[in-house]
Amino acid sequence: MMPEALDSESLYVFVFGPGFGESIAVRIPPDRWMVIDSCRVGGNAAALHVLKKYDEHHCECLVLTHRHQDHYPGFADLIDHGDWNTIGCNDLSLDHEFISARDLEARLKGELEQVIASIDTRWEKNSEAQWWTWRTDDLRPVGGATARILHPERSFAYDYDGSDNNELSCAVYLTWEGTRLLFGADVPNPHWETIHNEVADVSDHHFLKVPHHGSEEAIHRTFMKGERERIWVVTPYNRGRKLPRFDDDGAIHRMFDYVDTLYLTGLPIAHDLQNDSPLNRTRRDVLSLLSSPKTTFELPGELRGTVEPIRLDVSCYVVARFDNTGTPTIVCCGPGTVRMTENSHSPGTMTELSEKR
Amino acid sequence: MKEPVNAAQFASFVMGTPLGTRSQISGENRVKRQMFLRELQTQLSAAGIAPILVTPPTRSLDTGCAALLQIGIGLHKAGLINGEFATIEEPSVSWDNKFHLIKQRVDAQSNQVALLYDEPDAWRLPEGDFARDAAYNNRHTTDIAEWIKSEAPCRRVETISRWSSDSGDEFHTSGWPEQLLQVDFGPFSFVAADLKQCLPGWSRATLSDQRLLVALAVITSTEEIISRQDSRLENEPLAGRLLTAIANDSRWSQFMVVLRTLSIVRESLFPELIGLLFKRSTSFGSDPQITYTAFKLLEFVLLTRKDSLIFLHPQLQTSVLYELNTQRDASIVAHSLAFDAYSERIFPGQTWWGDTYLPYRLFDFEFWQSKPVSRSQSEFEAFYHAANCGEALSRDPVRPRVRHYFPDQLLIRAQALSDQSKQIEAASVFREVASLDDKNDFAHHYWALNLDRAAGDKRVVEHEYLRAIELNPTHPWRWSRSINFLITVGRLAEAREQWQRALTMLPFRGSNDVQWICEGLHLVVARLLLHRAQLEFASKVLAGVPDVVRKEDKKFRALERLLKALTIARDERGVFPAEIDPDQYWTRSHLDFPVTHEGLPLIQWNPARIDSVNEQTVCLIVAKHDDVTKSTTYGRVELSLERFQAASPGQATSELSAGRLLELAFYGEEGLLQIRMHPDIPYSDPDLPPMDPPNPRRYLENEGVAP
Repeated sequence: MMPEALDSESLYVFVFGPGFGESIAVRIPPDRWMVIDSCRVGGNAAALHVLKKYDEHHCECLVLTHRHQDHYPGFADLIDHGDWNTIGCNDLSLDHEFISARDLEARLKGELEQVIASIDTRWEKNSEAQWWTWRTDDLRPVGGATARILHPERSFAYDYDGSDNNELSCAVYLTWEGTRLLFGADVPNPHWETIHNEVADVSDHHFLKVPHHGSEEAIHRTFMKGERERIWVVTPYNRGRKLPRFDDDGAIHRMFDYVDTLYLTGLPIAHDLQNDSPLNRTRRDVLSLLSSPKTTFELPGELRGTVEPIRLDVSCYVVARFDNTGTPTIVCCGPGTVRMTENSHSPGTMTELSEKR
Repeated sequence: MKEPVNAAQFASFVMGTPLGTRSQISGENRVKRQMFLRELQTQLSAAGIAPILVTPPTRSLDTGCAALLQIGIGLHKAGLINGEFATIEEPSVSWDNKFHLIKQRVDAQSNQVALLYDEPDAWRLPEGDFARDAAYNNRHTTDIAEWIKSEAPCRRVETISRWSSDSGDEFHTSGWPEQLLQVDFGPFSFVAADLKQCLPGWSRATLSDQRLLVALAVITSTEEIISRQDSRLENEPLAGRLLTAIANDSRWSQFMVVLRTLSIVRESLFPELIGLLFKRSTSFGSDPQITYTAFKLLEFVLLTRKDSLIFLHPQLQTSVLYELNTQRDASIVAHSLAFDAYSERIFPGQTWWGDTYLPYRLFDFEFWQSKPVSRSQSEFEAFYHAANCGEALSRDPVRPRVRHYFPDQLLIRAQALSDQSKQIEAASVFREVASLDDKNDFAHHYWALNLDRAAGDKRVVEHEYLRAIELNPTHPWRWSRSINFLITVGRLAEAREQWQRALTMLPFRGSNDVQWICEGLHLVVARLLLHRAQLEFASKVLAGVPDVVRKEDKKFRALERLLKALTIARDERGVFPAEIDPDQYWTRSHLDFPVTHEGLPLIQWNPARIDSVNEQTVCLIVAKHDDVTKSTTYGRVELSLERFQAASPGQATSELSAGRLLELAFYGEEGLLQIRMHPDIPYSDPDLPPMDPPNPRRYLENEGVAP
């Protein structure tokens, strides 16, 4: 479970990924907060659970990386929670199509209107809070840390036809003393080469929120090469394509060429252990689990499928702590999360393992 | 004294009553009663007192003000108010001060004044949302109606309908004043002569009946009248026969337009009106001979003249109005024509329709086609009232302008501008009212609302909404629009706080107004929240609606349906269209599968949604329901495209796309699969209330944020 109190000299990263959506809360010593994106857990914005738990009101920086539905639910509530010094966003446009959509999930996109209105009003009220998250040479102070936007370039965003919002997704590089954190958002991999060559050595990080749910289209050697002890967290996507893929040709397998351990905030399908403590599994264990799920769904005519996740409010979160040299510690992982290795490892809970580090 | 009287007799009676006496007299229709009051006014003037006729436009926002103004003008003309009339004219003087002045002058001169008025109980806006919304203004009408009825210390004469329950000293009119009626039928004298000779009942008919008979004979034939000797020769059936005859003969269709237009004028007609109507009539292409005959029919048979006053035959007017109330288009045409004629009367020869008096030039045929008849009537009443308050019009020949003595008069203009979606102009007029009368919550609220709809200055919008709440914290609309403004501009936390304050201030529990409050507050707020997918907040709002309202009101049921459907969809569990009531989800198949297929019985059906499609497979999210545990399980099932198509003959592959909703049906033990898809049409629920204001993206669009 989450710690009752936070060490004022350490930086904490809370990554939520309940299967659909992701949100990251960063506590920068001694008491400043940055939140990137939002998703709902138990009906509320996931990051709000953290902000309220630690009774924090030093809301420093809030960033919406892009306008996809798995990144903004509850974002308006986050804006309202605190008097944010900075609110970052690079695209305030709205979709045309959802107003009369018969597909009710499309109608839920009305929330984007709420989010955009909230950002617009806050920017209007306090121009200092306005942060167009384009790639520039500027470093934005966030408490005692500095944030730099790695992508997109403004000219690229202006010229882009808007067919895929991931292209405009905003990657953030946060530096606090000797600690470097890379939040990859959903930036597709063709851009990482440019980022690496022109902006920053993205392999130089202690923490990575793996871009785009660990899809093949997002991972890139530029940020993967480096120390094996880095903390990488993957937020799964349990709809449509179901990301990440765990087979031998998949991105997860490739990631193990660079790190020993991956942390997943959940799995992209239902599994009967998701309500329990965090799992320790190898990639092949997970692959086996996914290919032959115990929870089958049967219909007449010999139609079979898999049961969809039962609980959607599973507390799928990973909490990592860093000292001022970037030394990481996994503090805790919520039920439904998976600590994954390529090869078998000794049994034990993740907390036990993290304590051993 | 309950026998019929004429105006002269009644004037003698009134002069003999003590000061403060209220005398009532009944009459069968409004036109007759008003004519009687005019006759009485003449008689009382001759007796040496100032009879003031109080005939304001009824059920209007400015009814009370118009009544007060008529008394003020009456006193002014009689030299009983002297220079103080300027106080009445000054718009910035409060209602209370003006009312106090009028009461004071009538008190002081009570022996020289008589107030003549018709049915003050009918002056107030009827109960309903609009009346409640304009309660502050309705209060003025109540003030003066109650004072006239109960307190005014002068002589008072009140005309009432026969069915009035308010009985005082009862009299009733002696019928149509015979001396006013035409006895010379002009070019139709030969028709009257024929009828007199051939129609046995002619000599027993009143002159009023005889006029209708002559008109009927002109339009049909004398033979037609004579052949139906069994018909009743009385006003009402005769007027009905005349209208039917006109309606049945297409050559007379424009004459009907003329009669309708004349019938909506409450007081004396004026020659320009009749002239204009016939000018229009010929331009419509009517037969010139018919037009000429119709004109002469009016002149010699169907109009009554007395000095400078001209009235349409009262029974005919009553019958036409009765029919007009059910004929939207005809009513709009009639009001439009009357409007033009009155405009010409106020500003003769003016061809320029600039912004000077444009605010009253609101009568737009296309626009009013979409409005109830009553709205076009009230709009005309407002204009009519302005036109008839001659003193209310400035006489600047270059820039004639309608003047206002009361802020309430401006409200009508503002309301009409708002109805025409001219929000900025409407907000400007409401602002003017609020600046003249800062206590007017209606003006503050609609200033804010119109500015809000136009995505105007947010600070002004917020300030005026709050001012309206401060003035009238028990009105649900004052709160709901303010809350919706906060939601719209992305201030959710403040919206929640405002919501809590509203619940505290509104007399909700145990109130008779629960339905009204829920419709004005909960319904309005929940609708916007659902659009913005703020499901937790919406759920909280709807949970506050009492069962008695929630279950009875289909709008609330539609909101609950949408809330449940969206909640399910958010959990990626949406397999039913939103139109289907969640309580009905599992009661039956919603795509009407036959109970047998190829001789096999239907054994099971499941709702589903297409999750993804590719060239080989269709991936479905399928739901199963356990009737015992009432639980639903969702599964992901892949079907080959081939099998899907075999199970859904006639369904084009190109129509398969993620999000489409469908049902699976299984037949026989083998589970033969059939698939039907819900039509791919935009979501609409006719019971879902519209958003208020309607466009929640307005500020974003105005600022260039939204496309």
